[in-house]
Amino acid sequence: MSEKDDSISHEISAAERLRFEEMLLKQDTATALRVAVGYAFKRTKSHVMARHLANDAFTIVWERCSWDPEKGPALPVLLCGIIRSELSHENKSDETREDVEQKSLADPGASPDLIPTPEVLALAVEEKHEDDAAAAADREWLRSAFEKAGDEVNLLWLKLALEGVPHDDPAAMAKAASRDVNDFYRAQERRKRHLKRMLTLDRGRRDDEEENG
Amino acid sequence: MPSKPTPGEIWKQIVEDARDDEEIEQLAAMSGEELDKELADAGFDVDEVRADAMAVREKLERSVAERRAKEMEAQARVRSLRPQPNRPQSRRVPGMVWFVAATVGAAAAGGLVYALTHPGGAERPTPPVLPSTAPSPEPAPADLVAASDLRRRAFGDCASQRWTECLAGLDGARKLDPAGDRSAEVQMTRQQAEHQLAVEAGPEGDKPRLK
Repeated sequence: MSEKDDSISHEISAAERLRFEEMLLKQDTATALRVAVGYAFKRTKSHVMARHLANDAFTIVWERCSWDPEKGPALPVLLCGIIRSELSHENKSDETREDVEQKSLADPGASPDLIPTPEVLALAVEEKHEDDAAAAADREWLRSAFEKAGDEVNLLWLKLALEGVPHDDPAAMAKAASRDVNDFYRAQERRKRHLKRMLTLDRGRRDDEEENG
Repeated sequence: MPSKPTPGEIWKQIVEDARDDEEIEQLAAMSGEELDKELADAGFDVDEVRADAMAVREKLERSVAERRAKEMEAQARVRSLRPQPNRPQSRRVPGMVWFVAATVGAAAAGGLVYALTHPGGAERPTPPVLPSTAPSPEPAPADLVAASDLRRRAFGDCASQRWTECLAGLDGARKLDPAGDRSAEVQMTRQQAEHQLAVEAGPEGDKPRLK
């Protein structure tokens, strides 16, 4: 919170920073940080990492100086969202590293012990088919739920997400769809409700509900 | 470069995020006690986590206090450079005053001539009452500088919640420069300090100082 930190975001004036800090002080920052620690631990299973991530998330909120409690999510949810995003970036870096490692394993010089047997390969293929079928059924259920609700924005969101537009970035979605970003922000809550329902009800009960409803 | 994710991988991520959202919602809906239990069950030292959170808050409070002090200081500096609205811009007597005085003088002289030449005649005209343009005594430049210093220190004291010192500084400055005490910044600071001292003296004195 020092002037040195201010150098990170030059465009924010001292007065804006003060107003933002005053607004942050009105929030229950202590609870928000504890929620963030709890969430980070669930994701990382590391006490040290969890505390670091929670503090870093708070610093990011401070640096951006753009969160508006009237318009955005509650502070604990915001912090957890930032932690998820940070972990996702780290995972992507890990995946890149793994890709490189996998390629090196595919070298002729790789140990024969690491090459799976035909039985293991067949089992893996079968499992993948099952997973793919289940995922396709879930996707179809969600699409149908959006259609029934006449939720045009979320139908667009699903289509674009599966095409590779970052599903958690309303701005990117709005740009790809040439629509107002607020449409996508507003659609988030509706989507969450449908997704929650999809996860809560198993597929059999969902099908029964559809037949009865 | 990582390869572009397939629709299946994207969907998996969407579902994972949805599960995450549920977990976040559950955590955010917990009471303080439930949260402590959750953290304790996860193997955290709850007091340490609380201390971390409080440290962040205190840092924020210090930052706000420093920024407020700087802002007040800047406002006071700007104000001290501005001409005082209730003081005359110039010591010169405006031409209009001379004109009015001359007219009144002429009228009075005319009245005197009339009275002398018409004894027992009409009443003597009453001279109009002119608003006083006499300035209130202005503090010496050295006093103004000293008052400005005192106020700057008082703003700092107030920002650091040293309310008694803050008030004493403002009072000292008022003695040297009474007009400066009427500025909005000084009044605001004075009110804040008086309020905080009253709160501290009262039965609710143990409440946190920052809102």
